Amino acid sequence: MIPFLKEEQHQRKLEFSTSLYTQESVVALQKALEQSLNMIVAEQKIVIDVSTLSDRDCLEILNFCLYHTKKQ
Amino acid sequence: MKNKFQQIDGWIKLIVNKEIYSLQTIYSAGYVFMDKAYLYLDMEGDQEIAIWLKPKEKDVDLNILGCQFMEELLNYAHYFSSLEKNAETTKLLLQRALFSAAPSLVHEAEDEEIQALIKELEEEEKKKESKEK
Repeated sequence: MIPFLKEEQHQRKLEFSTSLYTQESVVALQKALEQSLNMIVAEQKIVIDVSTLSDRDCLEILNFCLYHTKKQ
Repeated sequence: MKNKFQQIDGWIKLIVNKEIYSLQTIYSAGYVFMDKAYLYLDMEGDQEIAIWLKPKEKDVDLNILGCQFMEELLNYAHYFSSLEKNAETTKLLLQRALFSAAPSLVHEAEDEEIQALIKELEEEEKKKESKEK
């Protein structure tokens, strides 16, 4: 179980604060997954719809985005 | 006192002040932990950052994992502050090493410095002249 995953109306969403993660890291994620996840870029956060992904995939996404943010 | 370590559903949440630990420090410590844990960062108000950690292996003590992460943070905070403090000395040492290997570089550097000074003086004179007019 992932406590910070937002679940509403059968949708699971991961939120990344734009102060901590770069938008490029999320774009790199889309490319790496070779599938387009719904993504909303708001003023202070990037929200990704991960409804189609397993918990394990979500966990891997976390480290992927952090790695790509650090790399930049 | 506010508890800085919280355990929720197999995760440990650490709260750190961003004035004390820079983002660079947090990313570097996080990078070291990527092999053994999943990490998530979130803003906790304006000043604090929540660091969520979930061990990849089973039967890992979350409190120990949290303490190890805090140690790594301190380690990188010290590394980056020392790097900043010693930057000027490192630059001087590198310059001296380069100049002793190639003495012609000293003359080139001196020439460049003289040219820059001349240019600066010329610009100042132009400004003075334009003001007088």
